[in-house]
Amino acid sequence: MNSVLFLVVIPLLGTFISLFNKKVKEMTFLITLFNEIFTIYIITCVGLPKIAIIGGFLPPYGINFVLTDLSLLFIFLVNTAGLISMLVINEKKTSKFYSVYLVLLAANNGLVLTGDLFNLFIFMELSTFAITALISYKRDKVSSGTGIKYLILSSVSSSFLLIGIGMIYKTLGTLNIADIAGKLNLLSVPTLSLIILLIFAGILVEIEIFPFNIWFRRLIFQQMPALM
Amino acid sequence: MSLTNLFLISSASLIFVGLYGVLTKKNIVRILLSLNIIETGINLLLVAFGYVEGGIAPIITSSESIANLTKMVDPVPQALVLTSIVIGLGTTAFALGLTINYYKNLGTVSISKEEEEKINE
Amino acid sequence: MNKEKSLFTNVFAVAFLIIIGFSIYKVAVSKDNGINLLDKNKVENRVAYRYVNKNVLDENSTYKFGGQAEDSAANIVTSIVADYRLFDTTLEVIVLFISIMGFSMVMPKEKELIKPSSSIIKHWSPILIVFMVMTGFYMFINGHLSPGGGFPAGAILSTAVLLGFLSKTKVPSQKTFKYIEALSGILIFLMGIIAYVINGSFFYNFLEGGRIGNILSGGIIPIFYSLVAFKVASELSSVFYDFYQEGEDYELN
Repeated sequence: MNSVLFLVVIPLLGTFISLFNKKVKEMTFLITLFNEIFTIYIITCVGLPKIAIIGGFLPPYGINFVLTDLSLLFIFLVNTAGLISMLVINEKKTSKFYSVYLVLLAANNGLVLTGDLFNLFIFMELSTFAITALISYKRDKVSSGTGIKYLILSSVSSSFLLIGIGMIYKTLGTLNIADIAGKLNLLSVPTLSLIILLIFAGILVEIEIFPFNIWFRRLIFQQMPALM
Repeated sequence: MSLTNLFLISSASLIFVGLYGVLTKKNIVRILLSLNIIETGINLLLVAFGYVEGGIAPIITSSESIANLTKMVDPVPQALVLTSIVIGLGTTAFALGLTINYYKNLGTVSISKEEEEKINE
Repeated sequence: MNKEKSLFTNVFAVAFLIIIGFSIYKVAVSKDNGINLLDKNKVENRVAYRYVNKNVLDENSTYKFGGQAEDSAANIVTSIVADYRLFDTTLEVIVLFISIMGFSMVMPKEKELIKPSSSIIKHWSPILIVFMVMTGFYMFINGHLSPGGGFPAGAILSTAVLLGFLSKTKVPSQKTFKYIEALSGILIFLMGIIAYVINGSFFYNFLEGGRIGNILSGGIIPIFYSLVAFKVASELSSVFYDFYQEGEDYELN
């Protein structure tokens, strides 16, 4: 099952190729369609859960992607949202819009699939930058104000997540999510509550569950096709 | 106090100074400076989490380094810090570009209630 | 009214931070049963123990200086960044690419002209550029033997380009830099896909047979670091063209 990684690698390759040629919109549509078909093919395979290893080193000494039934539902949601938004958006002014859109698709796929904590942090940062570029490419009044405020808020909250990851590595010694779940009962209670508080504060502000997203309702629904 | 505690206290104080700056300042450039101070404090904290007392650097230079393998400092947080420094660079560059655009549109570099009125016009 | 409000905000922020700092202090020095935050570090319980001993694939292997190992880079941090966790570094390169691309999408279109430079820069810049380029090349070629690597080397090379740009030496145009950047990105991902075709897992180190301490060791690590250095250098150099446009400003002298 190592070919699950194609869901992330093909859009990123498409970003670099789209800097060369002119027909960007058709290529983006083809890549999104390929992602959707590949997802449906994965769902019809049997035998869960599966692990895809990267680099030839078994977990916990290397990075891996994990497929459980919950993550299957989420990758189907992400790719379908991407396909629907590609049918709706009609953007003629800049061709760089589609390159950034492909990176956003790859980042959301990787965010759902990954099984390593630091990989999660990097995909979240990638998603932040892609969304900020999509908000503020229009260069008018509302876009620039919202863009700078979104970037500052996201950066501060992701730094809290990084402090939590550092504390987990210092006490438990590993960065793999499945391995951490096995070792979590070795921690003392105050340390565990501090780590949980830091990580939740980081993640909840980033993905904007209800009490934290009061600020962002102003401009988001115009340009947020694949936000999960 | 031991060297590990000194590193932890200095990095925690950097993070708190940066947090105070992000919370109370109104000029965007000052907020970005405080964000950079937070990033520096976090990098120092991550490297301090891997410190071993009396350790040596994790580079193999000769056969004597292989005899001293148990005294090496933990190399994994150093790899995490390499990535975090580059992310901080990207954030600062992008945010400064957005600030230039903000200034050209609105004529000022501060965020406050008067700017909200100007945007909503 | 504004001064009172800002004083209230400052005092509130300081009180809030004092409360948070106090609670973190109480957690940090607590000594319950279980693993606490300020215990002494034991490298044997961590993942890094197997990285330092280079026996991830085979538990009982040892290595000597000048011999072969499963990952023959002498700098252990490099072997973590570019062999065991290669995927993270690839994504790191993409993060930098997106932020610089977003920067060029956001910058306004009106640019200024360059003012002519002083005579110190004009006379000394060729010599300094040669030294800077040499240092940059040394850093990514020896990335697996001493501290350094692709990212600082890219920053140093782009500083050399900036010096040439300010003193009007001939530097490549913006289109050349964009071609180098896109080409390096495609080559990095092609390397991962070739590893998938050969062995079955992405980003596998498929060049074997190096000895620790040589310059031609480490498998695909020197190739990867040189691609990263060129990509970062061309990205940071194409930023300068967003600020200034070509031509000279003849009014000031």
